[in-house]
Amino acid sequence: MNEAIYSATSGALVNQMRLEILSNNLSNINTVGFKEDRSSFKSYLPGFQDVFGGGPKEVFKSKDITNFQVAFEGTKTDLSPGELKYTGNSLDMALDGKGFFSVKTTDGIQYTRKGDFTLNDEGFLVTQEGLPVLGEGGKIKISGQEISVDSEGNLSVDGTRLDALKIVDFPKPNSLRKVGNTLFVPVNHTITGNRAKDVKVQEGFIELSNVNAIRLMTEMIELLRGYESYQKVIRSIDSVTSTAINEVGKVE
Amino acid sequence: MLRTLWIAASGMQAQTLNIDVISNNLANVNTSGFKRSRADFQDLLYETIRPAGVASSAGTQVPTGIQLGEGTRPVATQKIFLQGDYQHTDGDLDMAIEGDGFFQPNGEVAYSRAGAFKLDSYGRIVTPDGFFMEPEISVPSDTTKISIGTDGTVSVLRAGETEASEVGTIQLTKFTNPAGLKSIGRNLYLSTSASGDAITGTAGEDGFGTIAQGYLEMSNVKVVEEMVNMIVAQRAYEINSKAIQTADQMLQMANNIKR
Repeated sequence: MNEAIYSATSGALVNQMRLEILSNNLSNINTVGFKEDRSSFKSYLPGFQDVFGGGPKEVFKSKDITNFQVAFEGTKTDLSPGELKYTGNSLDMALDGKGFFSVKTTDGIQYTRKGDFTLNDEGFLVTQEGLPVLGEGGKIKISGQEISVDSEGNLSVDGTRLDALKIVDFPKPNSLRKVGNTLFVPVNHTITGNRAKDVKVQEGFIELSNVNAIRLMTEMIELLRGYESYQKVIRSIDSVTSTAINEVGKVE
Repeated sequence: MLRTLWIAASGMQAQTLNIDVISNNLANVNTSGFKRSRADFQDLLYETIRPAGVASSAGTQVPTGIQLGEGTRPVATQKIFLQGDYQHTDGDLDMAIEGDGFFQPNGEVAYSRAGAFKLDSYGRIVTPDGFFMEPEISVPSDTTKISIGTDGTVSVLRAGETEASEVGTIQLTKFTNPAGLKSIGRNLYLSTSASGDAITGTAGEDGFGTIAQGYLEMSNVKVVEEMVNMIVAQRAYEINSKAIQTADQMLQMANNIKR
């Protein structure tokens, strides 16, 4: 059989996966603090590498010549900032710059850019899920009227400084993974965050999703047409094989 | 089948809720004391198809991995207790709270920011629904003028008298977390375990707002803002439907491979 059919299939499957990643981005287009995922691929081109290694002849010698396949390599979260939207709510906070708010969960400390906080019945600053937001001194209890946060993250109640928000940054990109609920965790326990330096807290703002609708629509068209082309290739290979089986050996 | 169908459907459902919240805000654009709500969303769990950080061969490791999100879901509809604008009405029993606090029109059970009070046949100060205030305040039938101080003191001038006499004080209530209150309609809120216990006090003291007689607090819904939110929600709904269409077309193409 013509192995090229598998190459075309691998291409179609990758585009299918791309659509799945893309539709998750689209469904979160209005999720505060959401960060878009980008997909990346890798190709298996063993024959092609031989070109550089042993000259053009090697290409034709290689048994893997028909094995030009593409595979999904990974998803990478695009941590570029979303736009800030003014809400006027004193418990809405957005981070302008690199960094994450720290929240306490049952699985340890997790990190988020979703700063539309609220208070719980005991007066602790919590996320909309009810997870306590951490300051440098642990959970933050607010009892008072006028809550204000300066750009450094210092939280004051009625003019008295209470605590500073624990805003953490992670040096390397790709050191965080998503766990849902707009939360991030380090990919392994050895990675610890540092106190974020180049970040400003904007009180009364929320950070919108960084999903770019126009780019995603374009990507959606491109992947759909790509998928279509792969189907055409599969059909062509099929008809070639069909001809070989049914026509070549035909005796009139 | 493609997961996209369900992922994008979760996005469409979320935007439907968003539109529901926005349309309720717009319906109450002229409701005095109304506080607008905001729908809040979260991404769902991630399926880790290929974990990041695992060894890919001796001495190397996978830098990013594959994580596939499953869509979105609504997490809260949050009441935004920002102050509404004031409207001057000249009504003796129209009151607005400047600052924090709620009226207690239903006997310490429900709380409200709407201050369009009336008198009932017993002379009690009641809401348009007939709920009287807690503590109950009655006005004598021969009253010619009612005046309410910024601290909530209700004084009346009776026919034939030259000096006003005090008949009661309006008490206000506040909560640690007003966003946790439960709306029950009729401009009323109930306390919940999320809002914390009601704290009762006098207007103008301990962080309570002051009472302004002859004013009503208007709805804090801003039409322009809601219209923009509606456009955003509709377009988000639309783009999620495009993802479903794309998935549908891809499945159709796949089905057409075999002739």
